[in-house]
Amino acid sequence: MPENTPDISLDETLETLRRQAEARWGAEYVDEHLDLLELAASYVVSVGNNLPEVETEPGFYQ
Amino acid sequence: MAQPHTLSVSQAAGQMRSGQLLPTDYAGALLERIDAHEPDLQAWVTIDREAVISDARQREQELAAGGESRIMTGVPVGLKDIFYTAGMKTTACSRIYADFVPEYDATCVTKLKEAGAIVMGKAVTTEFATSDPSPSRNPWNRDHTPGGSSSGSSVAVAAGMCPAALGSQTGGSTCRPAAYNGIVGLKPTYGRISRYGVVPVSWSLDTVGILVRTVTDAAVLLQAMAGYDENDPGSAEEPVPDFLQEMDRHSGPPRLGLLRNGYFFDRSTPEVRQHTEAVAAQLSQAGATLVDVDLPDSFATAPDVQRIIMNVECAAFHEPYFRHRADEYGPRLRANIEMGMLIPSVTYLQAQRLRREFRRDLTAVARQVDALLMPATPAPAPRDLNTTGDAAFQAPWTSAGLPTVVVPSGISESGMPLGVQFAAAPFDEVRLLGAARWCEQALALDLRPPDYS
Repeated sequence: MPENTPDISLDETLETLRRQAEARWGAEYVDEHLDLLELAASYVVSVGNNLPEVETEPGFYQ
Repeated sequence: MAQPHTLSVSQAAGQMRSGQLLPTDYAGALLERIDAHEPDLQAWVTIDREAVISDARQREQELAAGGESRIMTGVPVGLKDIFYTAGMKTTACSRIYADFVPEYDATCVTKLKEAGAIVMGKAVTTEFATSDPSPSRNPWNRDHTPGGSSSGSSVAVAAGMCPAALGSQTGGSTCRPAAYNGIVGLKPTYGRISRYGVVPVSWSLDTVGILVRTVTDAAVLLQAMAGYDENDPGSAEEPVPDFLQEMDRHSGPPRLGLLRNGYFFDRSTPEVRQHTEAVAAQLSQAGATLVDVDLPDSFATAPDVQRIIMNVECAAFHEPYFRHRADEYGPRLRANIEMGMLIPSVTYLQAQRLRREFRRDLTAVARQVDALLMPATPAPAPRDLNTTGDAAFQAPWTSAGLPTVVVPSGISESGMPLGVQFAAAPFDEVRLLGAARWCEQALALDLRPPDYS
């Protein structure tokens, strides 16, 4: 099985989310909701840097 | 003879079966109690008094005619205002659903009625069962949050307005308010009770919850509602045991796995840690076997996974309304929806994959014992009406789909209730409830809010 060593950066992820939020809701939104964007970025990084085993399929209805 | 508002579901049903208590007298006494305390506690959205009394009269006639006895005949139940009720508003305490009147009952409401229960009314929920606080007040101290999102349901049961109520749990919305209000809360295994006819937060997390005053009552309501429903894609085709009878097979001292190391104790206040240790010692002294159990490594991402899945699915449900009516949403729900819209689809799917792994690993841990034991909440209900409290001790179990039950276990220095939470392997509610009932009896507490007892 190919190796799987993710290394996702919090800063890069936050910047991506900032750009997306600005495109959707404008620069003012980004300034007012920085805490929210930082939290979202932390979730994305948490998952992205702890990927499941290659064989694992999604859970959905468990 | 006990006052009607102090009766448990089992006691009330028994007294009505034996003719000691008439369903109309019981319903009337509870309606009077609601009249007396609703201005203080704000637990209800809708109550159709005529329908309550009419249904009680019908049950009375059924009992007088000596028909087949049902497990909840004449027992009034409150419904969180996200459960569809035919002909009665289901607002989700939101502006979006403010005028919504369903044409059918949720499957679980139909099943409660088939078991003989009476719909007492619709209880307050936080907006769309999420995290903007509701106006409901905690009967133990009205300056402290009652928790959420099943705030009205929990307050109503704690204050003796009804002996049972339905809640729901996507993060911590049943077991956390149960702990904050000093009552029993059961979140069954995901898929055990149909969600058909329940306004969703997050399809793959939402679980119907039960709020009552005893573990036995939790089993009664579970018995009434459990089972496969083809209308709910998440419904499980698992056999439904006779919970009450089977629990008796697990009536001996249980083997409990104390989650002392890591997540739960690390996040608890010193008071909660000491209290949980004291409860464990008391249960051990009463005959339970206590062993330390460690959480699996895969648990580390469980809280973040829950937030991702909840926010993305919540955004997907609300997107058509939100596009045009965002200003009509509360600030916390609005933020959750917006976050859900920004989370990449790949991250959502990775979260669903991680969830499958920690469900597998947590199940293996749970199978080592009859039940896992931990504090119910990191701290008692905060003295803050701008929050619904901390769901950190419920969210991982909801995400994994494992069943949990909260049992009251004491009073904090602030005078608010404390509780402990038990968890078990999927679809092992019999073992879970058997262990929890043994512990409830060993603790021998009868907690009632002083001003509403």
